[in-house]
Amino acid sequence: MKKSFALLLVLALSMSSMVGCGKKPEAVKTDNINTENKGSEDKAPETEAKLSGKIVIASNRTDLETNLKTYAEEFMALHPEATVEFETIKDYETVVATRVAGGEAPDLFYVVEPINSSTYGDYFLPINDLAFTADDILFYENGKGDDGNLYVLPLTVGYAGMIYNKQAFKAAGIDKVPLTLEEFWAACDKLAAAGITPVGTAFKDVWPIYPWCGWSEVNVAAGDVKGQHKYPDQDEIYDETMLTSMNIIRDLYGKGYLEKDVLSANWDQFKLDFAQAKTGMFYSETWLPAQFVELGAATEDIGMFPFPGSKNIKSGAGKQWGISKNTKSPELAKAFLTYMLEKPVTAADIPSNVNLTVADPFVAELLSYGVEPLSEIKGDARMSQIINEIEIDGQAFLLTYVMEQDDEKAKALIDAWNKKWAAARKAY
Amino acid sequence: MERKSDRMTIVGFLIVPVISLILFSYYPLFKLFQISFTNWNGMSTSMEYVGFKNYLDIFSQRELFEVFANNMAYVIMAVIQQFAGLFLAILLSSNIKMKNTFRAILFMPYIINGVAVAFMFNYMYDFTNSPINMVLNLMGLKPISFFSMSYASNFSLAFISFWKYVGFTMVIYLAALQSISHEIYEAARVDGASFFQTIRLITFPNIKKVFQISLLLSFNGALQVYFEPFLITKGGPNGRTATFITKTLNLAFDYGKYGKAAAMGVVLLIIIILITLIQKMFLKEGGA
Amino acid sequence: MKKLHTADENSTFIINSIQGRLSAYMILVGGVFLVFAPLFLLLIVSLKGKTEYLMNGVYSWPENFLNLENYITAFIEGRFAIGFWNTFLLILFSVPLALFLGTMLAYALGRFNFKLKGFLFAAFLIPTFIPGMTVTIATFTLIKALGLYNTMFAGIILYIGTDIMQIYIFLQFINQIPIALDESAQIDGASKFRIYWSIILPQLKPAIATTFILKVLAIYNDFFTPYIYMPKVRTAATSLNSFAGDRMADWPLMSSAIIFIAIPTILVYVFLQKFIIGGVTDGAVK
Repeated sequence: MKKSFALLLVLALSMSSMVGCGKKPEAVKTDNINTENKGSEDKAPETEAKLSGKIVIASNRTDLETNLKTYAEEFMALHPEATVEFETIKDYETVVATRVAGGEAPDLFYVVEPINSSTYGDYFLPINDLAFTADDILFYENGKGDDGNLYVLPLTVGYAGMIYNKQAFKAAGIDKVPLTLEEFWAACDKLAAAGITPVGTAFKDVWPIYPWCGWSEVNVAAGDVKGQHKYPDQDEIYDETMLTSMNIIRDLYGKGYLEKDVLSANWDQFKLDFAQAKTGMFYSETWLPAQFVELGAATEDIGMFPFPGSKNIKSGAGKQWGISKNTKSPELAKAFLTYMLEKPVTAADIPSNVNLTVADPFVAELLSYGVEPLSEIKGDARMSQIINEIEIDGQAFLLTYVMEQDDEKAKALIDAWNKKWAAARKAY
Repeated sequence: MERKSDRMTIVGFLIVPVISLILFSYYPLFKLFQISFTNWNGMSTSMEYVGFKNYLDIFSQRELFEVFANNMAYVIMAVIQQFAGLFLAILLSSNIKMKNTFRAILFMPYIINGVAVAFMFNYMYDFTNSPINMVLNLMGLKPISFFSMSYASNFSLAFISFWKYVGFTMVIYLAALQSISHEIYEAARVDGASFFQTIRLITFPNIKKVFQISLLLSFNGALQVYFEPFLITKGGPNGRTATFITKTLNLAFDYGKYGKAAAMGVVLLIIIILITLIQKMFLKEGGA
Repeated sequence: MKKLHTADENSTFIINSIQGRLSAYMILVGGVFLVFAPLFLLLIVSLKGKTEYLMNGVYSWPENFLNLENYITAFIEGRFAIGFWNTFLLILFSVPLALFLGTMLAYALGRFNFKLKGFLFAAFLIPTFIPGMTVTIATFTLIKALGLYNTMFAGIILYIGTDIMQIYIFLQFINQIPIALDESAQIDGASKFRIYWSIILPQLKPAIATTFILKVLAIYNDFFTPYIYMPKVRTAATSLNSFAGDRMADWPLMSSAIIFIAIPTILVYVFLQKFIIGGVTDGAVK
């Protein structure tokens, strides 16, 4: 027995470490925090009590690092006992998801996969008592969890549309923005003839092409207010509506109207090219044009028009921000969220707060063509659950679909996903 | 004589390393197995045990084999790296000048920061800005698309580790070559053996063991590769350069399937152990 | 017997023909070119201004070889000073501890005979085959439970872990130290720790120097540990990654950032090349 002393020690240690890190203590801890929070909610009315404590806000805007610092300092000047710190994270989704998993969520962060309305309550603090109503904040209702509590709110809203470089249009001899598909193809021909890339994709980074294949974006632009939420009730995840949009970009590729080598077309390079009128159009949202201006394009040279032939302009909430349920300073976090809702971080964003007026020239132009904005109704969590179940990445798939110029094979790809979808959705 | 105090000393000397070993190597491993049998989404405080569902899922999907196919590019490169390293080592063991300088320079990439190397190659591989493509353009040739939908993209990435590690492999073989006694070679030369004959008849048999160890290390690295695709392509375009590990991270972070990701980890672990065992068997046979 | 080139100490192989030696040189010079070419191009690009790069491209000498503008911009915007400082602190705290524990472990394994020795050896060997990436989440929860997340201690504690390569190097040296030294000390009444401290440790100096350098390089070059377990603690490697975030298209700026992340280890290498190569070989082959 003495000989195996070391072995016993090893065993004992491993047992204790396993027990110590099992999931039971964690559950207990969460309960504690819950009751604490409830207590503080009850006794803390909306008085201007002195704010203290420290919160960390996780932002994905690495490009705004210095602006965010100043922004936090301005807040701290008003509340000297509070410490507010922005942490900018490059791979936001991955890093934040890992940290939330480890119980180390930042005090304020926005919704990342796999959080959805059915699980808001597991990660976020209810913010029903924030001094805003559905009349103040756009998409207020969308921030409610399935249990009816408000958990998250967007700071910004966006409108989807075709962004274009007026210098490029001028150089190609296009005097009128294309509002129908015929006009669009004609414009592409002209741009290509002038040696300008007609439509940019930044395909290497994959995500920038989301308006072409996002189920919400495509369906709302096609005039369907249900948006992505119609899919859990139908067998085809790629239906006519989706294919119409996806086929346009596929044809663009077929004609050589996208970047020369789409797979190495990266985001930063694309932005430079667009700002310098080497690329004519880009399908995105209103948060983007300001970045071209930052890169040296003149404000009056950048414009936006509705996607050619679309019934509606998709409007929607930006990132959905919430307060971690594990925060140690819930009052400060709420105060700061309120502050962010009342004072946009950058002038380039269109605030979700309707009480703030914005004079965004890009939005103004976009809305001037007589196409009505429309936003998706609030749905349930099923869509994101089934998407996760079959592990479909719509953006990555669009890339495959676009590159597959053989119609038969492309159709087979579509059929395969539809089949998977039909099978998986039955369980939800 | 003083066995009891000896034992205390042993325990005293070992306790901290052993605790850290258990805590940071074995506990996570145990946890990995545990999670692989659950449907944990990576965030919630609860997880249900789902038996072998995750494992069945993995083996019923084509993607697993696709990522393995991608990893094969690294494995192939790893094998090439062995021969290139060995070849360079042989050259550096021959009667040429400036051996130490050559050795020092060829080994250098090994010590350069991996992030820096990855971004450096990201520049070399950029379609429009690539210095390589600029030369090709000047010569009137078609520029290369280093990251395309074709399988070759994996070789673009695998070449980065080749660049970084071939000098390392070379140095290992150099040491192995130097441990072979000179007399054998002298004797062979007296018998009139040529340069290539000495390599085939003396060098190869004598460095077999080192070759196998080095190959094993490279296989190991090739199967666990993540760094280059993670920093440069994120596994794209559309999974073309996804490796076993990037796919695993993808499952966990993008789809919240930690259970399945953990099961992937276990599968990889088993594969690596199997390869090690198979190599051990060959080693025994060869060594006997 | 044909006239042979005289084999010096290091020449195991003799290439007789001039063509043979010539092609050997050509291959080696080709290798040197492959090593230096990308680094050299980066260096040139890093000395060019934005417009200069747009106008002249890669292949031209920089207009001003002392144009350090990109370096200064990158250094400030990338907050590399903090990165280098944190990396320095990580090295300062974890390397001596790791060496201390590693030598103690090797001493215990090399000088004592006990039942579990083989078992322990295997126990330290097996983790080398665990794909480190896959256990990330488990390790993460552990780091969190210990309250080390986002602190430098997360890195320190993970770096202290003794790896098998280090143990091998130390063991080799310990096996070469005559046991008679231990015994005579023991007769003089020295304790085991005393023996370790005043007999074994001094003899291990070369091995310690080697592993010291290798550990420093490993920590400096590590990206994943800080990236996952302490994202707030910027290190040299993670600083470069976040700096790259939205400057991917600004190659002159990126080049300068890449270069000054690469420079420190290259400098260390230039001066300590023999130690490093020796250490790597010792760890891997024997």
